[in-house]
Amino acid sequence: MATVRLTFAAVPAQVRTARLVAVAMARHAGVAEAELDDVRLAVGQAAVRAVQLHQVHCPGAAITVLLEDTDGLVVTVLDRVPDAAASGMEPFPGALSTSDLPSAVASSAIVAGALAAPGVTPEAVTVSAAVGLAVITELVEQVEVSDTPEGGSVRMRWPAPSAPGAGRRDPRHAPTR
Amino acid sequence: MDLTLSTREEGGRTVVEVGGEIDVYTAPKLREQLVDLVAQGQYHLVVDMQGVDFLDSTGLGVLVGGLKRVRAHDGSLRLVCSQERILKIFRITGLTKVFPIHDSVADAVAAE
Repeated sequence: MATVRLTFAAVPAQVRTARLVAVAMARHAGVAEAELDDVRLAVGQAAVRAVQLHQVHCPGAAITVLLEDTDGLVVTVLDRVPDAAASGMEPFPGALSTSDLPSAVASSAIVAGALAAPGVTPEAVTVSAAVGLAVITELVEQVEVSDTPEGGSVRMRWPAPSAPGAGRRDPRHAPTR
Repeated sequence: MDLTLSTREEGGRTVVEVGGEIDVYTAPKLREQLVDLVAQGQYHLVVDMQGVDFLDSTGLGVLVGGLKRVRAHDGSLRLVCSQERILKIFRITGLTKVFPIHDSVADAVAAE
């Protein structure tokens, strides 16, 4: 088992770095080749979410990504925005505190709403954040989103093909959707 | 990998050929391009994504923004994409219902 800790400034240019490291680590951890695109996209979306939260609330604080090679890959993206959901800071309110993370249906409804509403700029964080969380929950079977006074985290797990838990849900890491 | 953009006229449409990665860092360039085209009166756009290697939600947001802008002028925004890895993102977000997606620029230009 190996752990890699990546710390980066909350700027859009560094999100790509997080994606590249995650894919390299996934390969190392034995995650199936067919799932590497999912790792790349889901980790990228979690990093985007953290960058957007930091840019609004604490632009100087760094974002941390923990990558653990343990019967597969576990990636945890940690932001430093406390109680984002409770304080109304979360770009997609309610997503963190409840089990109803946005689904494809919800995100397309949000997009349809943005298209129909006069004056709304659909590129706004709301659409991107809603779609971003939908992407994560659709791509990753084992995902936990949590929110604490110290900051939030998105934890995603991809089992290695031969590892216990591959191809089925691991009850120890019950998804929050 | 950075984002590459080029535009050309084809069959009365404006084709925007996009290459590279569309993410939170590069999406503003694409948005700027789409906004410029609409400002120039180009309301029938075809965004060719065959050379796109990566697309995230911020890129999707920019495409939705482009669609909204052209619709305000009774225009259209069609996508060209046959790559499974990119199509998957449209499917899982339900956006295949929002955008007409074609296999080739020729198909997109011939549509309607």
